[in-house]
Amino acid sequence: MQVLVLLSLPVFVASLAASLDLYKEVYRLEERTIGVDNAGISLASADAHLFNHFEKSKRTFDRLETAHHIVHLCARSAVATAACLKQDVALEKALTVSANLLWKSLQIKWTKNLIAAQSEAIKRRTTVCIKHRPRLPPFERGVCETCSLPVKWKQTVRRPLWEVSECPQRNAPLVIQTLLEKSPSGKWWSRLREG
Amino acid sequence: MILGKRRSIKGTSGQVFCEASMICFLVVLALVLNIEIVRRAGWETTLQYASFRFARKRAMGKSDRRARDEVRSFLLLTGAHGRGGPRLKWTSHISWDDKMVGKISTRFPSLLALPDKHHYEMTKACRF
Repeated sequence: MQVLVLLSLPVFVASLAASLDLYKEVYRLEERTIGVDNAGISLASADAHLFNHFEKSKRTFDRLETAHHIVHLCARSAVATAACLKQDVALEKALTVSANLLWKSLQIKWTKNLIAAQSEAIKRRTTVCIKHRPRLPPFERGVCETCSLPVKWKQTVRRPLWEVSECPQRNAPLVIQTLLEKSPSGKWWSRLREG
Repeated sequence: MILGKRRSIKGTSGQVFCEASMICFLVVLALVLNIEIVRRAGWETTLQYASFRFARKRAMGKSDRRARDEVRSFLLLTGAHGRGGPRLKWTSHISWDDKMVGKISTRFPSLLALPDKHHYEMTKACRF
């Protein structure tokens, strides 16, 4: 009797083990989904912040550059004074150095955002791939027509939309899209969309 | 002596029959219980994951109806909840702390029909 009861014990325990496996599977799937979502949220909000920072810097550059035109015209006029020339050279140098610094800081932040997004996914024990996001920040410097300074910033991507997906893809693909949009007030904001 | 032996043989076969019946009963009971546990676990996980997906879709801006249809088709595709299964009741709302809450409840028949309990109710909610 006892032997038979002992032999039938696995039958009693089998369902508990099966249920546990089921719970674990669902928990893992939810965790992976949250990992991908968190990566997308992190990337989108950080990129929106970067775009806002760029817009603000661009406005500042535009103002400074326009203000510099008076000194530039004075320096290039027939009756240019030494003071005008000196000021023009100093201003142009300061503007160029600031523009270079801005470009470098944008590059660093751009890479940092990507790493932060991937670390968010790693926290949830998953890895993500990001598609359609350029390797370098989507901004470029143009040359001013008046003073030929390379400080006319412009954005190269009109509608930033990146795709964050689990990498490698499994049987249930997890893909979300991060979309950056500009509000009427000129501020960038982000939202997620299912891919 | 012979009679005594005969009696003992009769007694042993009866005992074996009795024990075998008991074991059979226990095994059948264990199997039924196992099936019920797995069935309930299946329902729990299905509703849990469905409510998670429902809340997630709602949080991502999909309408209540569209999110419901998409989750339902997902359940159908995975075979977790077929067409003939019990009806699912879907609700979603935004909680006091601005979180999207997706709630799914169902009422499914119990495998062992007890006199006063024919159905089980299960509700799963997920805050996203």
